[in-house]
Amino acid sequence: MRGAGIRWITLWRNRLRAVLNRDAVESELDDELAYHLELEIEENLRSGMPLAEARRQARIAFGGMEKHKEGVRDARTFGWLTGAALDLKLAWRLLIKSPGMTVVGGLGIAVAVAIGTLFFSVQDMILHSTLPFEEGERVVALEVHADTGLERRILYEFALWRQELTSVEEIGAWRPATRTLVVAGGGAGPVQMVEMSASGFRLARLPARLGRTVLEEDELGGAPAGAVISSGVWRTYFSGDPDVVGREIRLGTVPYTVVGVMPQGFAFPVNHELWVPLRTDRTPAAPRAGPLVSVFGRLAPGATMESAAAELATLGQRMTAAYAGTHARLRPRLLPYTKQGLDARVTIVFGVAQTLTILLLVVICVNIAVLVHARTTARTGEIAVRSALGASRLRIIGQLFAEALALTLGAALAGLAIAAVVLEVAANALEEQGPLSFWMQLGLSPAAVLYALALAVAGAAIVGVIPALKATGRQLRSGIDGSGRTAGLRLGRIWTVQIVVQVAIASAIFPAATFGAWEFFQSGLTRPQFPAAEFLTGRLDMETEAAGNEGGRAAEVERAARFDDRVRELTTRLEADPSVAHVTFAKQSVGNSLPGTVVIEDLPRAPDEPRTSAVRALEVDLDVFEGFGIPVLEGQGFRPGDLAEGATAVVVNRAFVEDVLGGRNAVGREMRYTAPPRLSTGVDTLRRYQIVGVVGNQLVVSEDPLGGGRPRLPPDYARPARVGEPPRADARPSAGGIRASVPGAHGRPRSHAPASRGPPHGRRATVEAAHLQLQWGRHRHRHAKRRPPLGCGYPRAHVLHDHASPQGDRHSPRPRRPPRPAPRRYFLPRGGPDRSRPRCRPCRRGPDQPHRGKPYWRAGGDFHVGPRGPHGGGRTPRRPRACAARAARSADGGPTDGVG
Amino acid sequence: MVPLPPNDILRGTLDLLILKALSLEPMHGWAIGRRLEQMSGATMRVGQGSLYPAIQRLVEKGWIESDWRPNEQNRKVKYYMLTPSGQRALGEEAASWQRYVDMVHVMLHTT
Repeated sequence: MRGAGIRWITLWRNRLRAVLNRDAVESELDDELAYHLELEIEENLRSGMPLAEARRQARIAFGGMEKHKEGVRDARTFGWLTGAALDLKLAWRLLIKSPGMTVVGGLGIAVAVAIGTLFFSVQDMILHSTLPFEEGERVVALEVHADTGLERRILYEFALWRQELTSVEEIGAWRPATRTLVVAGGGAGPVQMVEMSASGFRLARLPARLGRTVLEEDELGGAPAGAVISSGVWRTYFSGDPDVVGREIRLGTVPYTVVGVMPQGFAFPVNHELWVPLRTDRTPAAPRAGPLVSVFGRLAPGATMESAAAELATLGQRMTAAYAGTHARLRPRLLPYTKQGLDARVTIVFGVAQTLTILLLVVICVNIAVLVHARTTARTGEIAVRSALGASRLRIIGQLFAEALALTLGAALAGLAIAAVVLEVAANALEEQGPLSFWMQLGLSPAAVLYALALAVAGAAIVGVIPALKATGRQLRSGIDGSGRTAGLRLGRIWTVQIVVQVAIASAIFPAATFGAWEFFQSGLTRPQFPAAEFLTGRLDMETEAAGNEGGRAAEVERAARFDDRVRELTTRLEADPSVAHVTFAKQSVGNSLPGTVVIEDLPRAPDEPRTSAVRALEVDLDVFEGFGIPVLEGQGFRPGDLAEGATAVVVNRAFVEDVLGGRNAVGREMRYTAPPRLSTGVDTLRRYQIVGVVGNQLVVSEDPLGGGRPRLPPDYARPARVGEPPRADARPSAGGIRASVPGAHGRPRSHAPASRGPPHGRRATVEAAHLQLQWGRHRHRHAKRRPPLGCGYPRAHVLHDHASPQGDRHSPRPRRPPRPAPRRYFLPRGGPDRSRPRCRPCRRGPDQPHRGKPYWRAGGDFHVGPRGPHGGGRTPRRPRACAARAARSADGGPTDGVG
Repeated sequence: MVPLPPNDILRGTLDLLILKALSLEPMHGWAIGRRLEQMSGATMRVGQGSLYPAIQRLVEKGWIESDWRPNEQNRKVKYYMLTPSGQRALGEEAASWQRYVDMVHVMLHTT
């Protein structure tokens, strides 16, 4: 055994020696072959040949010395490596020699690799992430599906599964909520809390950093109300106090005692930062009752997904038999925890997208391969000489492959750089919409880098190997026979077909790609048509008593009425603030106006002209035009009567008149509006609306930033919305989390502050008072898509209003939140985060960074603060400097006046 | 000199023949060629273009190893010798070859 080990070591030492000490090994090979030749000569001499003839015959018999050496080199394990350095050196020279092809080809491959890597990264994040726990891949979600979708009122099933399932252990449930965390002397602010079973902590197998986690006995009724906080909350609200366990807090109006602090990185079940026990004594006596919950568990030792799913299905059949009325069409389902919400279509979509990106790379590489083929044909003589000197076909193909690999590898590195930047921007954009699930990391993973390198190798195979095979085949023999004559470029059938196919694909893709790119760049260049820096916007959310949707429509109406009170209260406070000139609300963020179509039946049109026109709608407060200083050009603006039940008034902009009406008179015309089903807006699609006025395009349409002079985006119209209007039965939360029927507010600061009280660095300041946090700044159009989002061109703010504090608890200003060791870095538009300044709580960003909205599935909306318009005081809009000074006082712990 | 079998057959059997030659005693490359010629009754002569890559393949497999030793003229020459794994491989390859030859023989004489 020992001898075998030594021989193995010797073997590998010799293999590596052939690579690392190539000169010595080559010298030995020379000596060996030279000795062989000498022996041949000696034998010839012994047979009586004269010396000269003996040498000649020996050389003839021996054959080409270089060819024999090449054969030996090829037979070495790492023989291919010995020539790689030389090949790469030659490849580098060739890239420099053909700069045009290098740049064009490299750019094309870089873009294809970047797109492929982006798709791979997103796919990897969504489809292949696992929980960062010990055996995280064995954590599962237990769901119940109905024909209409996911059924989450499953507390009854949860209790049954907990009792009877043997292949899944540590079964627990959770329900999310957003609450205002109030810490005596430590500030207040919204937290993502969750009611969760104690088993959720056992799944992670992580002990608490301080104190303890939630225990089984905490789930029982009558147990003391204990809360476990995240490491981030601990540092932010308790300044890392080691004696935090036992301190009192309030979540909304409910008092809790801190019983533990979880370690950094724990955010189970999604992205939560405060945990309270899920009470099991609330388990309903019958199915389809109780709050909405999600259920999780861990596969028991020895159990598989299949066995657990089979056991769950059996239980489901029992439920169906026992409760035919409620369970006839319900199917329990078990799936990996990180695959919740994903179905087979997602995998198919990613597969198709990945295939398309690979096809894009193939098309680009085939194009480059044609160019390489032409160049290789011109090098037939050179290749023929190499072959005559002893280079094997494999060796020549290897050289041409190396040349292609140098190009594609360089391009892949550029593509990776592009992908890294785009992923960074995308991660920021996603942060704007809310935090990702804690197990998801959007960025360049090692797998993505390997994927990009694999694409580079595949590209090199197309670019280099296919032309090389052709060049070293019959073409090579004709090159040798031609004694220096260079063969002309004959593409042949395969190449011709490839070129025709790729030209066809490129022709089909080019118009769409050009249009898309143009739209992208236009979106990036659009700017609001009003002084955006003078406005700030915020979102107003209201807590509900409990998470979920229990309570029915009556409760929603009641909540809407309470929200109405809060809106009025906030409006009053904001208007009382001397630095605020105007406040107005909208149901949707102005930048997220709703797409839809309108039909104007009395409009003359050609037979082939479509009856519907694409528009975007916005439901606003009566004074929105005054708030934004937008003059009414024709007809009138909104009047109080337009809020009455059955009122039909809408106001359109000039773009609407030009694009939809062809410049015809708008005032008095009737129209019908239809929104896409997924964006049910609360607008009555059957009702005929009447246009009462025409306003300028400032609010919703940007002029072509490149000087076209014509609005490039679909026209818009607005209709009034009543504050606090209860949601329609068919109204659903939009993608942004704004309930369609719940108003938001928009506002603008007053402008009478002295210039010396400007925001830090002349650009931004932060206002913090009670539950209200506002940020000033000229943010970029982070979510600009098809239109210049009004809400994106100016600062955003976040308000979480405590429903139980109608007078507004005057909590102390929220403390600075230290930067958490974020899993991703932020890509800043300019400058860097100033951590010394107050941070906006929900997104943990500095004032230089855009605000991130939170997806609250409750009442909420955007508000904007602005100057009083012609009908509201007529103040001259100026920069929000007064608030800057106030922010500075607030940050220093000084007195605050006004809002909150 | 008889015609040699096709290249792929020769390539497979050449490794076996080199192992056989080296099973007698360690020898250098030229001597291996001569020994093969001698063993074939001067009916087969292996070209250097096949011989040295084949030797290198066997070295890479660990079936033979080399050593620089002085020859009769006290000149350092590269000698090749079988390793224990080469010995085993020779037995297995020879048996395999024999089975193959027997099979072809049977097939050719089947009426």
